[in-house]
Amino acid sequence: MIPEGAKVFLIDDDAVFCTSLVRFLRSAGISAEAFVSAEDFLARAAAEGPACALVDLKMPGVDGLELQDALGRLARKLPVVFVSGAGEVADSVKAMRGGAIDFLTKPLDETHLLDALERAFAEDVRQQEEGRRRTDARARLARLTPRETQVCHLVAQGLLNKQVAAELGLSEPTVKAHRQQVMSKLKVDSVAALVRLVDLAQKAPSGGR
Amino acid sequence: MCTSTRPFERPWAVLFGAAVLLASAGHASEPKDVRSVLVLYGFDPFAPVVVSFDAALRATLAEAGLHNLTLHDEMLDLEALGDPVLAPKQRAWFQARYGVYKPAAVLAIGAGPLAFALEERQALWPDVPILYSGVDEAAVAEMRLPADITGVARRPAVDETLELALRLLPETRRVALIGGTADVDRAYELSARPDILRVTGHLEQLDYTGLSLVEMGERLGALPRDSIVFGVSLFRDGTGRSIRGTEAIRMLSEWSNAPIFSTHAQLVGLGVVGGWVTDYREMARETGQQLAAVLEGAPRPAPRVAPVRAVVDARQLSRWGIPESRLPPGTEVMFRDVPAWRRHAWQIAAVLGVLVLESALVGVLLLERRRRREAEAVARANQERIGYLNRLGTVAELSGSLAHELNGPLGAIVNNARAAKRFLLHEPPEVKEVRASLADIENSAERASLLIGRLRSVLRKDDFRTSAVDVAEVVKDAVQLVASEASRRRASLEVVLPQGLPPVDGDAVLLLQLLLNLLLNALDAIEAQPPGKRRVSVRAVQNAGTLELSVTDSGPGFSQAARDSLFQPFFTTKPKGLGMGLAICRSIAEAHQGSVVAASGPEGGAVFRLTLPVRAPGREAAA
Repeated sequence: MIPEGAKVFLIDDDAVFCTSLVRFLRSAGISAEAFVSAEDFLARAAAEGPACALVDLKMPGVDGLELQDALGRLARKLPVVFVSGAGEVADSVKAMRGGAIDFLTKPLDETHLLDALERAFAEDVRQQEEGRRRTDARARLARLTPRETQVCHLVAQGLLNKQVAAELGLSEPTVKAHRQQVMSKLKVDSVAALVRLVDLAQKAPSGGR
Repeated sequence: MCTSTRPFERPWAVLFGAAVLLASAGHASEPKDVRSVLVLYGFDPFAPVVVSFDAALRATLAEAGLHNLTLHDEMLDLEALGDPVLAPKQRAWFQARYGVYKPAAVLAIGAGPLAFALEERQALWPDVPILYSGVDEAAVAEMRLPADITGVARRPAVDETLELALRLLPETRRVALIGGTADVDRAYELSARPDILRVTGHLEQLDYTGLSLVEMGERLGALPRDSIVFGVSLFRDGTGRSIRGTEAIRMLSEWSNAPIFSTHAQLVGLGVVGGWVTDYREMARETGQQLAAVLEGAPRPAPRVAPVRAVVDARQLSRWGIPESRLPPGTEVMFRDVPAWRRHAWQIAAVLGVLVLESALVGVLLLERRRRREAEAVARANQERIGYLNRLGTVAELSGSLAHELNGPLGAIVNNARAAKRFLLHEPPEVKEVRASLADIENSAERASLLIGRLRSVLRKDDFRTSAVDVAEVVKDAVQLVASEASRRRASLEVVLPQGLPPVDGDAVLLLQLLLNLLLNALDAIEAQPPGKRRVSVRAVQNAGTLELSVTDSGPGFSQAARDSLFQPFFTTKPKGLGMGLAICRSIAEAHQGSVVAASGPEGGAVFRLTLPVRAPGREAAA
């Protein structure tokens, strides 16, 4: 299923091909916007809803792999589906290692293309969702006092109250009080949920910022 | 060798008589231990027979150990002996010279000199021994020589010679006699007559003696074939002219219609068939032995007669058709006409060798020519094949980007077709979108077909085709074909084409190939440059009568050494290059009466300039 309001950004130097592909996607109910160069796309593209990039591997100027690299460094990691002429195996390996959703060859297989786009959108939705949850988790963690943050991290590492107390040079009852405050501020009801939340907040490649 | 008799410088001759002679003797002067012998000749000292006699004589004396011996050769003027004025002067000269210096011996060669020597003996060389040689046997008998005089006589073998003649020519019906009017001639003739008659008395006798040389020649020329000629002695002919016999006999023999025989050895080889002749070498040898004995004081040797032997001239035998089988055993055949291949074996072998070599050479050259033609045909075919392979290679090199190029329109067609299908299924069908899809499909299909056509023409396999070629079109095609490759390599491709370039005569495909090679080379050349500095430009310029296409790159250029061999086959700077590209460019350019040269570009890169003659205006219609 293609999510509502999804949009494909098509980047290919062959304008005729772009036009035909945009038309095909439109006939399939998918909104698409074509750019004839990576530079053009990076300068102008803006996505609200679910989106992905359908990128021609070989292009004059910034080519597909370089565009993928550039996209990876952005806050929004737009999923990329590559399109190329035949037999560029080395490039396809690099593309997949770089996190590409798929690597399609021209002429495009209809089903394969739609499936790849579907997966790309799904990935984008997932990433968006994860991003939202991470933002939320970070926001909650941000509300903790420094002492509560210390206690939170030690508990998340699996230490008992007694051990935390020894580590921080506090009494066990004090640790217990901080711990309840942490659970409350983070809105978690179990240590397991606390661990997941901390993991989510730390996992992001772009770090805790 | 000889001191010619002074005041009498008359010529005279020798002819039929090697043997005429006289003798006298010597002088002595010189140091004591050196003895001298006066040798008196009575005729031409340069006559071959005298020369060979003299040589044999000296050799014999040397053999006998007489090294300290000087031979004073003197030529006596025999004619002067009977002359009232000259005779005393000649005598006086000899007295002046040999009266004081007495020779150890006097050797007289021939009857004349012998007579002179005897006559002057008392006055000039009283106690000096006198020897003779070459005096006719008859003359010796007639002269009644003193007992102390000895020598080697000569026997004119007239009868043997005539018998030989008749043996060789049994059909002979007449015999002609030729001879001179000099005293010696007459004397010889007289002594010979009896023998002549005895042997040939049964034949018709023709006497031509005493005629002038010319008359004699004419008579001989008129002789029937069944005749023979016998030559006696010829010192002076009927006109009173002195004759050198050796020359006369050549002439007479040439004119004569019948073979000539003679007893004179020196005439054999000059035109006579031959005869029984005195062996002068043997005569000289015997004379030398006698002289040696006399000088050493040995008892006076007995007089002797020189041996005779049968000698014939093989050339004359063949001239008169005389088979050698008729020759008596022991006959010496001189001038045998050894077959040419034996006489000149060396030269013939050399010439044959040269001929064989020449023929071989000609053969080899012919073969070589055939081989060369075949090789040329093969080379031409190979060149075409290499040209084709080069185009194949070009296409292969471009295949990546060409596939990309083709995939564009094909992909667009597929997308548009699918879009059209889907738009038709929409409710209501979106006809406008379908129409747009179909129009795009048509365009893309045309684009693909153009590209394929261009490729196919590059891969055309047939021969050179001449037509009017629009160079601008060729440039556009070439640029189209390499455009995607250039963009793939992030190279900028600049094209400067003035409007209205004139057409050239040639093959568009080959010119396209040439340009593709230059463009791909240029793209290779700039590979190592940073992306912003990868530039290739194609320019066309029209000059007087020519069109110049240049391909300039921003690469590193090339060394002088590389430039010199750039166009050589198999020269390449690319690790995977075959090195045929530029060689093919040059051969294509040359096939168009043009040229392609390499130079350094303004920015240090390379410039390849292709110059082609513009098509002659009159031929436009023919295209």
